[in-house]
Amino acid sequence: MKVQVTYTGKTKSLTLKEGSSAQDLLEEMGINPEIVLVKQNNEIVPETELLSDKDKIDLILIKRIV
Amino acid sequence: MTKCKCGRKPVYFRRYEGHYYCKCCFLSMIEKKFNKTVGKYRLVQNGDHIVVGLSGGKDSSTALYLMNRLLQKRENVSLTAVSIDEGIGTYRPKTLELAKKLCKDLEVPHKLYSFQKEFGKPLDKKIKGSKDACTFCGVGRRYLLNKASRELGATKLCVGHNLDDEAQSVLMNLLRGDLLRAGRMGTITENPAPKGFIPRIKPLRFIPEKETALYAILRGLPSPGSECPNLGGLRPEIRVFLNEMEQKRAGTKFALLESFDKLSPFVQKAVQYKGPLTKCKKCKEPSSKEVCKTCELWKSA
Ligand code: SF4
Ligand SMILES: [Zn+2]
Ligand SMILES: [Zn+2]
Repeated sequence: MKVQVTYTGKTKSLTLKEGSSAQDLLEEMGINPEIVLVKQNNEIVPETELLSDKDKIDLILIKRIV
Repeated sequence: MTKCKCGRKPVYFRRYEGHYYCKCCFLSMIEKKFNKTVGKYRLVQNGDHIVVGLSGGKDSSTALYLMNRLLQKRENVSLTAVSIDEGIGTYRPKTLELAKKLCKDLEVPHKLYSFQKEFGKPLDKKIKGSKDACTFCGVGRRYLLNKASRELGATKLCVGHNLDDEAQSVLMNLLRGDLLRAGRMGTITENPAPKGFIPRIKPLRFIPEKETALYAILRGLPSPGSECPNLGGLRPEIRVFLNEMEQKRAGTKFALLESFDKLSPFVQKAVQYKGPLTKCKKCKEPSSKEVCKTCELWKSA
């Protein structure tokens, strides 16, 4: 399956194995789940959520603001 | 499909506990946790005037929102928000705008203090050519927050430090060998406060950063946006390290903070910290040395 991922202002298309979760996607991209929240088609979901073909994924970076 | 215990669609999986939360249950879980910390450590008492240090970021905004929510039912505790304009490029004006709006929405009085007014210079000018922006910034901000709180007649100063911040600070203090500072950490510090010092309370101390961020987003509070351009030094490295450890072993950050809290009384004894016993001879603020750190960094010629 193919998903569209937006992270830090950049959007790209990624091919993942069927049955992949958001967690798998983060692993593929080398992003620690502790620093992002995942939106799947505009809804916040747990990283364990399974992804589907043509999903739009937004990764919201949790930044430290003093 | 995974579900919250109430049957709804989850927004969050709390790994260190193995539970799913829907939006509703997540919000109420955070609110309960906040109130429980306030209760357990007696952070708020009748007659208190609480000042919340509000930067306009997710953590301090969440702290103000939750404190205001908790105090709705209590008539004898008052609340004020204080923001510090350190003078950081275009970053701080943006978060200060958010702070202002939040206070207006919540109808909480809001006071603004600036480095320019207090020290005669914004941070940007002060740190030109120096790498250690965060030292100048942190020392100045702590000083000014304490002074402002005292001037406003506050009895407690509430800050938005979350679990990640605090776990990072534990490691940083230990790695630097700064036991004196390590011994001063806690959910409520400087309590009872030496003269001139306002006790600091940290009601978000047991809530992970990811959860304060999610809370802020779900409540429509100021949430993750830009980051201070000066952020550097040891903290970001420790942050990466702790996040890696947390991934390998869920609950690492809690374990670190909780075990350190248990050691804390012994650390205090070992370093014999007795609080700032004297007054700075320059600015007259409480200090443990003849000239306080703020005057050393900010008020020397
Ligand atoms: S990152 Fe450093 S310079 Fe920026 S606000 Fe925080 S302490 Fe100040
Ligand atoms: Zn629920
Ligand atoms: Zn001084």
